[in-house]
Amino acid sequence: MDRREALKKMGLSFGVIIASPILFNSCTKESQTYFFSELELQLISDTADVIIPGTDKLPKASDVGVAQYIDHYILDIVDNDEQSRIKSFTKRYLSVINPQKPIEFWVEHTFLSPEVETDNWLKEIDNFGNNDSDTDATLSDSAAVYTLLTNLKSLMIRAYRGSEFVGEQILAYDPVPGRQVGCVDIQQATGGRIWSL
Amino acid sequence: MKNNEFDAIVVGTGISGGWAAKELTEKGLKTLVLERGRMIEHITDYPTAYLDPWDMDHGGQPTKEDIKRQYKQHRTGYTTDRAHSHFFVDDLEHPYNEDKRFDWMRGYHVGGRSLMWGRQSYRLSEMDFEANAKDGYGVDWPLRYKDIKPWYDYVEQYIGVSGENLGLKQLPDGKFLKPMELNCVEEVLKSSLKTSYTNRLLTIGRTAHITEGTKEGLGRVNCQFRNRCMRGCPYGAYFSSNSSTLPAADKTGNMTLMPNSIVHEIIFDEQSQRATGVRVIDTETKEQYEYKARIIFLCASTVASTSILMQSRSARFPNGMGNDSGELGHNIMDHHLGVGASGSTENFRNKYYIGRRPNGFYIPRFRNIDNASKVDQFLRGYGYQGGGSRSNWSDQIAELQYGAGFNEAILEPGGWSIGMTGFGEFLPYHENRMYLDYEKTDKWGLPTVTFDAEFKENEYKMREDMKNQAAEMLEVAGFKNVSTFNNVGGPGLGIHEMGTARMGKDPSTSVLNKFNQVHSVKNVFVTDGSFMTSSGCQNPSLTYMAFTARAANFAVEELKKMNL
Repeated sequence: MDRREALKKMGLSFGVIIASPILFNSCTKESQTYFFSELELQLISDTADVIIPGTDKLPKASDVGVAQYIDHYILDIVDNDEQSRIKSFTKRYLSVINPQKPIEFWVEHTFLSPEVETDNWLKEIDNFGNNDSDTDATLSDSAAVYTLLTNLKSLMIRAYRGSEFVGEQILAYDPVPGRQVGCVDIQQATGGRIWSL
Repeated sequence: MKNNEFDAIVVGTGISGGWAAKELTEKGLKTLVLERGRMIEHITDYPTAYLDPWDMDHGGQPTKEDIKRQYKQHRTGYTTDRAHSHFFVDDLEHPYNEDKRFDWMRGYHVGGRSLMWGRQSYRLSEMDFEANAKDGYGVDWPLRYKDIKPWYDYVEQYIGVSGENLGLKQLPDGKFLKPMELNCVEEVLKSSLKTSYTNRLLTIGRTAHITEGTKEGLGRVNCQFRNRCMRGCPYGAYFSSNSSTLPAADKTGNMTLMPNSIVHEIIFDEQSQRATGVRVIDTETKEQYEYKARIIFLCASTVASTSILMQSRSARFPNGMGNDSGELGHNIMDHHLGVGASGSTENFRNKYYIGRRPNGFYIPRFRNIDNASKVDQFLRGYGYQGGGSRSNWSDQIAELQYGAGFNEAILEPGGWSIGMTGFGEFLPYHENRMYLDYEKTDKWGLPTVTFDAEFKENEYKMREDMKNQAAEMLEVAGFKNVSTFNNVGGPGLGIHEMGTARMGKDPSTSVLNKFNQVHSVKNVFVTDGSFMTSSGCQNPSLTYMAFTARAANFAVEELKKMNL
């Protein structure tokens, strides 16, 4: 099954349809949220740190305000239908977190489950909404969390890479190249990293 | 009312208005230049020129609220990015009507679209000037390539165009600065076209950027390869009116530039059968003024200039100035695009590029250029514009999923991809038109424009070929995962709208003569895209510059001879 299509059908296509390398602002505001509640934002932030945990040389997601970025982005950019699904699935995600099944469990469950299982979730999502009686509760926990995290992940990557710190200090940053070379060894160009701009 | 008299009035400050202002003032004419939009000073009024993505909310992506105010401008998918959305109109303040979808993308400010243009600069060829006469669509152009060639030479050398001469009859050579470089995958396609086809080749785009030396204007220097052109270039590296022609006009001391001035009518004197001036509304105070001049250059852009002529009604011209033929507002054309193919390759993993090249590759027209290349499905032809790049998605992302290894992988580039979109000729059809709606007026009480135009069979058949040939060329060159696209959009999306006051030999079937003069009002010249008799498939701005310079010099000569 085409995952992108299935997720799109859910209206949760916000992270995956942007074809160009659009980079993001990491707007870190203290104790103010845009779209999520403070608790939800903490959940997204902690989840982002499991997905993008940093290394001894790299910042983790929360170091560069990934969750805050996503919070603001969803409010300003994502349309109302998608927003209500994100809200609903985030609440569901929050409700299934417990000591036996912490964030790490759900991240692993979403991203490392065998394909037979993820395909089943996709089928669920694909069929979802075909009946009038369908409500968000009709969807299994796994399918709801899978949908949410898969979409948020692509947004997390963009938020991380487009943050000022990663953009200027980690990626190859050259605001005024002053010259153009068409085909050059990558080590010579950027040391193996992506161009920031 | 206050009266002010000038030798010449130029309406509009974009690609053609800037050129008219420069040529007329340099020849000594006291010239009033009227612009409906606000003032934009070179460099100081480019507020986003130095912003990085993290300096803008959401990296500059427009919000839902932004899009509500620019819902038509947003149809391109890129005009409303916050890096340059302030150079495009607010659709709520500047409405237009669509009997059929028409994407009218524009900005109201000094410099017009010369600030945000695509900068691709190609000459029309002899076969373009002959096309209408040969197949019978539209009317014959009243001139040929040899008449405009010296003016192409002149404007290219003044503005600076980088590119490569190829010796093609369908795409004449020019006076070019050093070409930019192709990247690794583009070189592959270039070699493949050379060996696999007899009449197809790939070249770097010809673009109005300085790549060596300097040019006249406000400190115009070499391109810095930042690729932030649409924000306005602090280096003046690409041609804009703001950095080039308007400063040149200003330097003469003969130019009076008035922003915030909507010209809505040309005043016609029945006795002398000449235009005597223009009527203007101050956008801010809504006060009305009249200005007088011996000659008037309409350079307000295709739709706006045509609209001004339509509003210039008199006993002599009940259907709009110069409209004896009934062709004013008709034959609207654009280029049709958004059709092509893309592919990828696993090769060149250890290669990359330096500099953000504000340019792509170009594949000149190869259909219907001679007997051997003639196709039955459609008339005329198309070129391709495209580019190769490395994606920002490392292939490892899919495998690693999350964690420290994933963290590293998202900072490395992915594989190479390459894509191209066709730019196709749009035939002139009389029934494709714009007209004015006097019932729906704008905030200045002026009639709004309605579009009633569509692509037809020739365009749709051409698009199939544009799609298929793009895919074939990529496959022949060895690219993988080749996929096609065909998003027709509305006419206008090419932002090359043209043809609504066409040139011709015969006043009964055209509005302008071969010097861009209104047939029946000799002291009015129209030199923006509205004069185009056919569209070719080449990006048209360079042609507007050449015709404007030619018309302005002709006008000055005629004034000297006391013919105007």
